[in-house]
Amino acid sequence: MPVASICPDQKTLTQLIEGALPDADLKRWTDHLGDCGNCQAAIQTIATGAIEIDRYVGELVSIDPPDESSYWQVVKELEIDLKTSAERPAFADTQARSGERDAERPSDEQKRDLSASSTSDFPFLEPSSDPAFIGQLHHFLIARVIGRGGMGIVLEAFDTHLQRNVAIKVLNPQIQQNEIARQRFCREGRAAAAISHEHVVSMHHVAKANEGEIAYLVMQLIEGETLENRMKEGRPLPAKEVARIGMQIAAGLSAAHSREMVHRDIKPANILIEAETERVKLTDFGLARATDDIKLTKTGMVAGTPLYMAPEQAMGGTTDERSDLFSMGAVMYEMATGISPFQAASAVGVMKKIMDEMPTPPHLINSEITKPLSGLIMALIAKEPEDRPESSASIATVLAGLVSEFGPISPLQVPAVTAHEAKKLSGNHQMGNQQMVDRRKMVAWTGGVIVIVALVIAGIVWALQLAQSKSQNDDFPSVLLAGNPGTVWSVDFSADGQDIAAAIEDGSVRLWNIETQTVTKRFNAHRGAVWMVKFHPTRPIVATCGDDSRVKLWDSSSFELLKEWHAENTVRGIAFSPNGKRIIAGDREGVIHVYDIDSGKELATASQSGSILAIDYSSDGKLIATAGSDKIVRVWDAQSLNERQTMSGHDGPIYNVRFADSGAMLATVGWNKNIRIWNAETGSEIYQLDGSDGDVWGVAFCVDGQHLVTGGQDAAARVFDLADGSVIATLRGHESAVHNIALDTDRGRIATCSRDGTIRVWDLSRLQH
Amino acid sequence: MTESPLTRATLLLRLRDPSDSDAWSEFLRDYGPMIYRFVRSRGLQDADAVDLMQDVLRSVGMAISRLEYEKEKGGFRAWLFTITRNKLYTYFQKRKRIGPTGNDTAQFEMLKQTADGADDLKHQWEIEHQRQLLSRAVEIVKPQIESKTWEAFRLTAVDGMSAAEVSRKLNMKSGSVYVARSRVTAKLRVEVERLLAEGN
Repeated sequence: MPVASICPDQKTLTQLIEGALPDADLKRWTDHLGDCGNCQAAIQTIATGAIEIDRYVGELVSIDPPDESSYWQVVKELEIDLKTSAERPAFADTQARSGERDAERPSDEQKRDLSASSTSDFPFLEPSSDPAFIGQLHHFLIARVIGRGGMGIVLEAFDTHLQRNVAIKVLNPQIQQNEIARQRFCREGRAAAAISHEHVVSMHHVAKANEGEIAYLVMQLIEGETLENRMKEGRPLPAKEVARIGMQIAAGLSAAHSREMVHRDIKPANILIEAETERVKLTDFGLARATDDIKLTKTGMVAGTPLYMAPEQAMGGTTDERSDLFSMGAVMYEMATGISPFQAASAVGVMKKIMDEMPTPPHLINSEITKPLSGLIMALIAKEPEDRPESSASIATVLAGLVSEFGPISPLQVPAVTAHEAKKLSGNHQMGNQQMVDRRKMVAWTGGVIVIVALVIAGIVWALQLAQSKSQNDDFPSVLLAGNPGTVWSVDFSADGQDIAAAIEDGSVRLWNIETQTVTKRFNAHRGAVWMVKFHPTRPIVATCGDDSRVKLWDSSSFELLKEWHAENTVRGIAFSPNGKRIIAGDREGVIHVYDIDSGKELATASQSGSILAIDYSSDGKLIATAGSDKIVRVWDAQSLNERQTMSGHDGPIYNVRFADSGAMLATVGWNKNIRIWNAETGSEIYQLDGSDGDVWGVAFCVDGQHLVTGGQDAAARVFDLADGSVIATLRGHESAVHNIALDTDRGRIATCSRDGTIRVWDLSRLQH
Repeated sequence: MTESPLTRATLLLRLRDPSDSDAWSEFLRDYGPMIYRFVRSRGLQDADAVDLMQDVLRSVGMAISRLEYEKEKGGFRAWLFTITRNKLYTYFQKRKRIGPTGNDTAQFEMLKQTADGADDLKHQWEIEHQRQLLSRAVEIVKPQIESKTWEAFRLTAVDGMSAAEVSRKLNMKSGSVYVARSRVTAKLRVEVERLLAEGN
C-alpha cells in the first residue's frame, strides 16, 4: 500500500478532522497519519486549539467528586428538597436575613407552580381547593415547607377557623409509627402549650392522631431566622448581642422552669430570632424526649453531635433545669467566640470534652467580651449541676444588667420574667442582696480565682446601679399574658388582685391567673366582640357587654350567666355604681341604660347624639359621664338622667372617659392625641396633657388622682404626674395599640391590654413612694 | 437528558425563581462538582468541601435575584468565584482560630492577597470551569459520534493507550485511530468554545 511520504499541509489536516476530504484523499492521509509521528502531533494540535482540551480530557475520569464523597448524598438531598419545596428548604433558614426577605419570598404564582408537584410528597395532605396552597390538613391550608428536622417537617399554614398564619410541625413517619414516641410527642406538646411567654414560641394546638390520621402540633409562626443560621459564619456576635440574646433565652427558659418543664435540647437551631423585632423565641420544648425514644432504639446511641449537651445528659443521667442552663451556656459561648466550646471531630470526641475539659474563657478569645459576661458563661457550663447558677430567672436578671453595660437598650428587648421575679425586680433593696447570693454561688466553680470573683461582683453591682439610675422611669418589668385569640378590648383585676378578666374580640372572656400566667377559665360571652369586662365592686359578679347589644352578669367563680339585658345596639361601655346596686350601659344608638342588678329592671334611659363609646360613674355615684363619637363630654344626674354639663374641646371621637377616685375630676381621651381633664361640677377644662403619639384609647386615674395613666395607638402606656402634667413613666412592650387600662390600687399595679392579643401587668409600686 | 440544556442566560434568570427545581437541579449539576473540586484543590477535606459548597449554593440562592453578577466584571462566573472565595476566606479564618495547620496558613495568606496573589486562585478557578465545560461538552458531543470513533478517542485520550494498542483492540487502522481522536477532540473544543461564549 503506497503511503504518501510528503506530509499534508495544515489545511488538509483540518479538512481531515472535519471530514471534508474526498474518499481517496481521506484514505491516503489516514494511512499517512498511521506512520508519521509529526502529523500525529500536528493534527492533535489543530484539533485542540487554544483550549487545553487534551489536558482536561486526560483527567475526564476524575471530573466528578469520588464515589465515596458525601457530595453525592448532599446533592441527592438537595435535589429532593428542590423538588418538594417552594423555597428550597436547604436554604430556607436563610430566608429572613435582613434585606433579602422580600426578594426571597415566593410570589403567589410561584406557590401555585409548586402545588401541582408537591401534594403527592405529603400523603397526609388533602388537596386544597385554593391553588395558592400545597394542600390541606383539617382546617389548615398549607402554604409551604419551612424546614425539615430530625423530628419531622415544619409547614407554614393558614388556619381557616381563626384566620391567621401558623406553623405546623408534622412528625416524621418513624415517630408516627412509634406509639410511645407519639404519645410523648402529644404529651410534651400539651405541656408546652401551657407556657405563655414572649420568648417562647406559643403552642396553639396539639392534634393527637386518631384512626388513620397523623399527629401534629400547631404553633405560632415566627418570621425570622435561627440562631444557628446567624452564627453560621463562625464569627463571634457583638458582645451586646451575646448578652441580649442570652438574657432572652434565660427569660424564655424561666417561663418553662417555673412550671417544672425542662427543654432538654437547647441549641442554636431551636432558638429563633424574629425578623422584625430581633426577639428571641425558644421552640421545641420537651420534644427532644420524644425523639430520644426513636434514636435510642434505632441506633443504640444518640444521633447527631451533642455539642450543647450537659455532661449529665451525655452520660444518660437525669436531666433537670440545670441541664438547660448548661446548654444555654454552651450556646452563649459559641455566640461570644464563634467556636463551639466542646467542638471535636467526632460525637465521641465532643462527649469526652464535655465530660473532661473546660474551654478557654471567652474573654481571652474575644476581647470584646467583658469579664463578668465571660464569667457567667463559664459558670453556666460548669461540669457539676450544683456549681451552675441557681435559676434561669436570676440569670435573665443578671444579664439584663450586663446588657445595659454595653449601652442603652430598647425597653422592648427587656423580657417579661415570671410574676414572682417582676416583684423582686421592682423592689429595690431586696434585689441587690438576692443577686449577690446567686452571683457568689455562680462563680464558685472558679475555685478560688478571687480576682475574678471580685471583678464579677463589682461589675454586677455597677451594672445594677447603672441600670437603676438610667432607667428610673422606664423599663418597668411586666408580666405578660399572651396568646389571647385576638384584640383584648378591656381587662379588669379581680378584688383579690390574683386574676385578670379579659374581654376579647372573638366574643370570649378569659380569666388569667397572674402569678402562674395561665388561663384558668374561658367562655363565650357574646356574639361578636366583647367590649368590656368589669368585676363588681363587692359581690362575686362579672359584667360584660358586646357587639350583640347585650349586657350580661356572670357568677365570677362558676361563670354561669346570672342576668342579661338587651340594649338598642352594640354596647361599648358599662360601669357599676359605687354602691354596687346598679349597672349603666351606653350603646351605639346613643342611649344610656340604667339597670337594677337585683331586680333586673331597667330604671331609666336617656339618649344623646352620636354613639356612646364610654361611660362612667363618679366616685360618689351621683354623676354619670358619657363620651363618644360626637366629640362632646356629657355629665348626667345619675338618678334623673338629666343632663348637667356638656363639655366641648375634643376635635374627634372620644374613646374613653373616667372619673377620679374622689371628687369631680374627669379625664377623657380620644382621637388625635387628646387627653383632657375636666371638672364635672363646673364643666370647665382643667388640663390638656401632651406626650402621646397618636390616638389615645384607654385612661385611668391612680394614686388618689395624682397620676393619670393612658394607653394608645403608639403601643405605649404613659403615666402623667397631674401636678405638672409631665410624663413620669412610659411603659413599652406591647406590639400594637393599647386599648384599655385597669388598676389594682392596693398593690400598685396596672394592667394594659392591646390589639396585639396580650395583656401586660406592670408593677408601678415604686412610683407611689 | 433528552431536553437540550438551558442556555446560561435563561438558567440564571430562572434561578431567581426559588421554586424552579429544574433550573436549580441543572445549576447544581453544572456548578456543584466544579465548586467542590475547586475547594478541594485548596486543601479542604471532603466533608468541609461539601459544606462549603452548600454554603455557596445558599448564598447564590439568596442573592441571585439581585442580579449582582451583572455588575461584576466577568459576569456570573466571576461573581460565583467571589462568593466561593469569600466562603473559603471565612473557612480558613475560623480554622485559624481553632488551630491552623501549615496548609491553612499558606491558603489564608493567598486568600488575603488581592490583585496579584489572587491570580493563581483565579487561574485555578478558570481551569476548573473549563473542565466543567468539557464535561458538559462530552455529554453533548458523545451522542453525535459513532461508537467506534468514540471508543478510539476514549481509549487514547482518556485512558492513555497507544494508537497501536487501540488499533488492535478495535480492529481499525492506526491512522484511523489518530483521525478519530482528533475529530472528537475538535468537536469537543468547538462545543467548549460555544459554551464559553454563551457563559460570557
